[in-house]
Amino acid sequence: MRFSLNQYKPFGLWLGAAVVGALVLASSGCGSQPASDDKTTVRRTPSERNNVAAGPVRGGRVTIGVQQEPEKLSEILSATAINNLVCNLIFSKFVKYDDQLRLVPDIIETIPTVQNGGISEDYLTYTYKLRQDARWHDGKPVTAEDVKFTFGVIMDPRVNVESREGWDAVGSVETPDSKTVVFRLKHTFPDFVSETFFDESVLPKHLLSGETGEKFNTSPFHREPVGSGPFKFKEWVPGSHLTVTRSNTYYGDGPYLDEVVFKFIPSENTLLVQLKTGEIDLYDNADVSFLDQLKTIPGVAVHMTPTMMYEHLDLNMENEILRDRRVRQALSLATDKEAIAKIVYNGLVHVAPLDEYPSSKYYNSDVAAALEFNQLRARQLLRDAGWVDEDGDGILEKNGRDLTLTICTTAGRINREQTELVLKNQYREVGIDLKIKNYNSTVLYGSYEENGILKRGEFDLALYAWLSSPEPATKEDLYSSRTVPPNGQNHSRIQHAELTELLALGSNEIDEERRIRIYHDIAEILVEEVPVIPLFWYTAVDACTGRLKNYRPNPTQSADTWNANTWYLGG
Amino acid sequence: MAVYVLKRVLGLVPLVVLVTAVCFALMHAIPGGPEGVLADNPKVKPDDLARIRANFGLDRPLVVQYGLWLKRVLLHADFGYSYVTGEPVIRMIGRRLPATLELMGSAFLLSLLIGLSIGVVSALKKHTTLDSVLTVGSIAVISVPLFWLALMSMMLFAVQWRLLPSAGMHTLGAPFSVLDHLRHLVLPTMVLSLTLVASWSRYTREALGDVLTADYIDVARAKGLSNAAVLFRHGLRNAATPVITVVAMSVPILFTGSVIVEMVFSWPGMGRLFYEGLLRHDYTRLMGIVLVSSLLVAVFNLLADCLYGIFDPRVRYAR
Repeated sequence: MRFSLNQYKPFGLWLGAAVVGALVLASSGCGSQPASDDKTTVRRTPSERNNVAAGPVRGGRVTIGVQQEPEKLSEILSATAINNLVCNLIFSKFVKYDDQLRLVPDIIETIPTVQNGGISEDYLTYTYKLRQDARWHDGKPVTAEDVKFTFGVIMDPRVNVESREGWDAVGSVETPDSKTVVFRLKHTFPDFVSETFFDESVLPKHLLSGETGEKFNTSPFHREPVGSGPFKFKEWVPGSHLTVTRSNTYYGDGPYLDEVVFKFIPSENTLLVQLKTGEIDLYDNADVSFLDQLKTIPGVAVHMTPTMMYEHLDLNMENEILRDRRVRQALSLATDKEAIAKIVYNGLVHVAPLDEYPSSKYYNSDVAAALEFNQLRARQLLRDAGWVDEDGDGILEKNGRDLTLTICTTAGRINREQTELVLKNQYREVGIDLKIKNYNSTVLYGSYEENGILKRGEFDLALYAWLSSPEPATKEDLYSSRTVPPNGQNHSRIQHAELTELLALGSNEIDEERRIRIYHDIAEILVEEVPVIPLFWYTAVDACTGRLKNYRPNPTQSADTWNANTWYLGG
Repeated sequence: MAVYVLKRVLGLVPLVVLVTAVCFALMHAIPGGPEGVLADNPKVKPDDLARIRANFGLDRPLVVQYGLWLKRVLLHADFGYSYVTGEPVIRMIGRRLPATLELMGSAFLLSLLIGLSIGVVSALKKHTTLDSVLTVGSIAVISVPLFWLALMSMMLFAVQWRLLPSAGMHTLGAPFSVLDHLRHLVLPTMVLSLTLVASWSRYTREALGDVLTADYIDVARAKGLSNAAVLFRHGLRNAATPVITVVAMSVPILFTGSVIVEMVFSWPGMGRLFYEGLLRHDYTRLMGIVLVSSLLVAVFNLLADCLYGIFDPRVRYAR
């Protein structure tokens, strides 16, 4: 039940705070080929039609070049992007998101709902049926006891689990039979289904019962795990590679590949070279600046998709000038996001009207256009707010004071620094003087105790990125009056009674329709109040050999290997 | 001599304490910690952070933390567990050290061989065209950043000419073969030794150049000794002392160089282990690596001091 984070990305474009690093995790790309699914019919390219006609072929090996190395093969102890990527192959979860952001079952037979009786009417009892054919790689069946055991590990205070949010709502776990697990909740938790064993894997009790408590943190199991996923762990040579082989006991479709190898290559340049020389087949989450080069490599398909990470401006609502809503709206109207995307990012990012992922059901398309680039309206709003150019220097004044604001971001990130310069020009055109003062990322993102700039609110405008998630409950942490630092991450310090109430309602609303309505209302308030100006969604670039079929990158934490069981090599 | 060596070995203890204490203080002066990456996760509550910090023992005063670390290391040779991987640090280092030593060793030998040869040739042919070419070449190589050299050599040898593999220690999936391994070793060794070759050849040229103009060389020649005897018995032996100093002092350069070379060529050595630990504030791992590398540097310096005595009888040590 974690908002999984990735810690760093050396040499990369995205070096920065943890949130920023999460891009690696959000790495994705829905690719040049439309998705195919058993139940849905979609348009296919001719070549893909041929492949489908031929059917998946068994055999072969795929080598994935990755910049980072897993810390330990346990998502409970280390929720990094690379861990997700590798653990997907070895372990099983209850649910995953597919590449269209739909929740699909993994080791459970169906996703529990009130309609199918999996969820009680009072939303306090959740019943899961494990697949009858699910087995550990050593042949033993996966049972409800394993699930209960894993829950015990997560709740053990001696275990270094990063977050237990959601899990702490569970009062008891019952196992009426070997394949049925019943969770009884102490209070309702709306995201229970989408977060239970979503980024944690089920662990084998028979192999780990002697490794609980403190011992779990340093157990050798995390270096040679036994799971129930499509591939078996084979070997891990630190600093070099990690290999998994096809499991013959897998319950789902496939797997078709004999082996998948993760090759650890810390330098982006070397990854590029290895893709060129054919030493790796897949360069996952490639450096965006390599795009042109990647496109020229023969036999390599380049996939590009918006990630779930968005760049945005925080407006400090405690600032005297920014306290006026008209000024904030004017700033939003004066921001030409298209220009930033084009000038700074070569058109390689997707403009973000709102802070909600465009294909999400929570996206309110009615309000999305309200604050589109419009300098005339921006000037009008500033005039209404009493800002006029008295001395003719092009900068507006009020009571003898210039309309000067200071923007900050992570120092040394060239793209961000360029964005600031573009913004400076754009704001200048409506009479706002923008000053730039950047900080080292540890200072900018530092904790409240460490006097972090964002946490202490020592900025006017701040430019950085957030990771979004398919379910919007985390928004409460960003915009509620109750989450102003040090109590949360409401860095804009927006204090809006109705918004706070709606956010609380939304994160406790279980009924999907009502929930969607609440978040549409929230979007309306955010557009009206402008505590943030969303700029764009980062794009993930993945390059892989055209021979690898069914590679469908995934923007969620289910990661690009979410369907590796169906990967196969074709002509 | 034995007493001297013993004294020097004992002297390592305070040195290691000093080096690790400074390193420990610097590490903790950087904001954040092994659990710091979690702090931006909205779902990680202050309680979670406190629990993890307490499990790591990071909630204790720094002096106590350092004291406990030192005690474990000195009394039990126990480097502790990595905060990040949960593995014993000694095992992590043990697995990576051979690769680094192999890379550093081969680069060291290659640099010695080529660097000294070029130095001798330059000294003998001082102020000739050949000398000028070697001088300009050396300065060019010294001035170029290591990572650029690494990337360029990779582009040429691996991509353009397809002569050598671009990264790693072995071809994945192929059975182990010495030849395959050596092929992987060529590029990293070459790049790592280039700067050393350049600088050592300069020092050798200067040192030997000075010696060759000394009176006793003229005397040796006057005695009718052959050129080779003059060069090897009198020239090189006397030029050795300053060169040994430079060579010994280059060991830390090899360590830092191997960090870059290991990153570029994906060499699974200790330099990469260190760099990755640095990004994650993995204190135990960093302390372990600092300790091992400072010991290695100290040993090399000791070796150099002993070599002075062998080459130069004037520097024999008192018991």
